[in-house]
Amino acid sequence: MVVVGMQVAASLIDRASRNGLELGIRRLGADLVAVPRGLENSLINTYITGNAALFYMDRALEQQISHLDWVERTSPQLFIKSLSNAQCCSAWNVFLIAFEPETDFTVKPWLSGNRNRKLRANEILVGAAINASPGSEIRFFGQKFTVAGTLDPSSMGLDTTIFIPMQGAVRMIQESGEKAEKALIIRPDQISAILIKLKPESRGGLPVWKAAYEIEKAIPEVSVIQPSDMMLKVQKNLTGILRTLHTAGYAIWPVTALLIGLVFALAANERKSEIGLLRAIGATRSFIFLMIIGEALFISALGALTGIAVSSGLVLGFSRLIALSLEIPFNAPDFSELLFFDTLALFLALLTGAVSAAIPAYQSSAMEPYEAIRRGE
Amino acid sequence: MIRLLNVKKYYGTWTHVICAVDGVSLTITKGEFAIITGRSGSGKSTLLNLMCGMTRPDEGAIRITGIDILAIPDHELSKFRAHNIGLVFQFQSMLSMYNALENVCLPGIFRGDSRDAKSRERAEDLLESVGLKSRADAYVHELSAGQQRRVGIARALFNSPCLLLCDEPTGDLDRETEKIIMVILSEANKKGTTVVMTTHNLDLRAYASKTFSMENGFITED
Repeated sequence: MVVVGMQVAASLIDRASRNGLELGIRRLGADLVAVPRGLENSLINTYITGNAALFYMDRALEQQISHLDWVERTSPQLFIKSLSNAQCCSAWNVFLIAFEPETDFTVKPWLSGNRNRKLRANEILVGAAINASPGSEIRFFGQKFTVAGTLDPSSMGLDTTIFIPMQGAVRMIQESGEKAEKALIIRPDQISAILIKLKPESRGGLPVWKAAYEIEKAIPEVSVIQPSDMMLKVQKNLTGILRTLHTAGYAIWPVTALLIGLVFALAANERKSEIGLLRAIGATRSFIFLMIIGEALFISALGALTGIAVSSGLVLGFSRLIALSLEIPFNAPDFSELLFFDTLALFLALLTGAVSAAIPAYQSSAMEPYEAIRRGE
Repeated sequence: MIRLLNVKKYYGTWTHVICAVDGVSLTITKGEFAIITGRSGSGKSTLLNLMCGMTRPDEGAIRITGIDILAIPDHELSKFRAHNIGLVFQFQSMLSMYNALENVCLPGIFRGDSRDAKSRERAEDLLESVGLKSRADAYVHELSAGQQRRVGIARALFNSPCLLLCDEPTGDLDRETEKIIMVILSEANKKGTTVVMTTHNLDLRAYASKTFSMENGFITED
């Protein structure tokens, strides 16, 4: 049960994080993201877990990037503030990001419902994990905003993010000194990240890795992040826990197999009289062998199903906590994937049970009936 | 029905070898009620178990209903037992997870019968014949030693065997229960079943058509 549980948990976390990352990267929509030099990890953490880091650079850098021949378009984002236990929303942490609806190609495409409507300065878009329905009003730093729509789930930090049009955000920042308890100190010419879409290679574009290199070479003030960097970061975060779970599982597995064998050897010893009796009334050796193997399969199945249920319940039930503590995206595998993992785990458990019980089963079946009865008395 | 020729069976330990059955030759014909008497450790139980192939002799030949049971493979021998031989043991032989009725039905499984109403009916009839129909649903801990023994006899008769081998079936029972058991066995014998029974109670020889005495592995016909 424990071994199966650990393996299922490890597989679920692994799969869920990969699923989450794939969805998140698709959802991000940009080929590259530029941030102030050296802050690439902060951005990755922000996007993956929603644990916001605030950093700024000169807005003019966006112009420099957009003028490169092989860049198709750029759009800036401004990281405003991370709000803990915000009264507006059900999420633990809400992150406010300003974006530019006119140039945006990463936020609005994921807006559920009407995507073409122009967003007004006082309208906001909320992530899928934020419990605020369209039309409802939310106040930030003394400024009132209306929820214009909800974004599709991304399984990343974006789900707890609120996107404010740049124009509205600038006004909110400027008036925060008067309207809010604490003023926001961000200059109007600052941005946090530049989302970059490259021209296709067929139209004179560069490969993603080359474009990242060229941008960093041309503009030393920025670091450029590729989606593969996020993948590497998640893998790094996962390596430790997955290695622990898998190694512990693999280490316990042979011990479990030995224990099952021992338990069945003891049980067979206790049941010699019963086995002898069954042989006396006509049971063949193969019947006895299969009977013991069948019992081993039944017990293994019971243990495996319990392990699967407990580990799946814990991993899926505490997915948010796991995602936050491991700093990974978490998108639960769909039913068919879950079924595949569970079936595989069940099959391995059954195999272990059957193999472990094979020797005691053979020994019991090979015993002379009279010998079995005599020894069992 | 049963022919044993110079059958020998040894049991060995690290230090010495015991000859439990020492050159036994005997013939029991169809329809007989044979009783083998002897003290504990004389080799009666071993001899009975040799007769049904539950253990193999070190020497000699055994033929049951004309079949050399030492020459047939183990799975065939199991089938042979299921079809032809009923066994009554001296120890508590009910399987504790089944009730009396289910215990009686057990031999049917190994004969290939399905667990249908017919099997149930047959088991109920047999329990009635041993006076236990009302205890059909009882489990082993709910039955006395004598009742358990009667369930064992009903089970041994389930497949209508031509040979019934009973190892000390009245060993630890009171006089009254002993008599009930002996009457049941006599009834089965009257219906044509050959009965071979071991006992240390010499008084029971009165039920037999043929008696043997065993001592130190040797047998003599009385």
